[in-house]
Amino acid sequence: MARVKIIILPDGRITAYVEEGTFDDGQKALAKVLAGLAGEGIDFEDIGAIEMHRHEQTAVENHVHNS
Amino acid sequence: MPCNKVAIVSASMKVDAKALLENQNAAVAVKAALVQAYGVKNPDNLYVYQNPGMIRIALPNGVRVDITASGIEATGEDRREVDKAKQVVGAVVIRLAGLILQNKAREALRLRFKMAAEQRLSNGAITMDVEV
Repeated sequence: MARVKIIILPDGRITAYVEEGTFDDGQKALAKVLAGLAGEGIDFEDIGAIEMHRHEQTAVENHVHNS
Repeated sequence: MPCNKVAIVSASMKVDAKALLENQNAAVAVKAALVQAYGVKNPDNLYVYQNPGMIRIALPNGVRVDITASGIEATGEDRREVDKAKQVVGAVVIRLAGLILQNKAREALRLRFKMAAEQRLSNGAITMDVEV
């Protein structure tokens, strides 16, 4: 079982994502969410591809030189 | 802070007059929105009737507007007021249909999946965690 986080905006846009597990598991869970919405009569204008999304943390170092 | 998502998808629901026409309370919402948009002082002068498949509006300035699944038709003597009515009603339809669909999607998810968390944010977004 996967935990899917979903954001529904008042303009009709929906974003759903999974943060844990494999991409394959996440992909299946997201497909179930979309199928569930369609099954309850939600019509979609556009459905994007299920993607992996990763922002790596960038280390930033500050050096202060006192002269 | 790292932001790692294993899988993500974005979709857009079809936001059009259909969602509004299927809603039984649409006339009340349309009237309230138009009273505000036009700054109508006496709401009794603005008529909104809802029939199956159609919402008919009579504005205080004499313009009549029909909302159907095929679009928005406006008629009246003053061309500028007619054009304005189409724009104002069009914006109202999209805004209300979006809200109706947002709620419909929320209900659909609640019905189909086990809900772990739900929140409404100040920007109007609904966030949900569901077990799938």
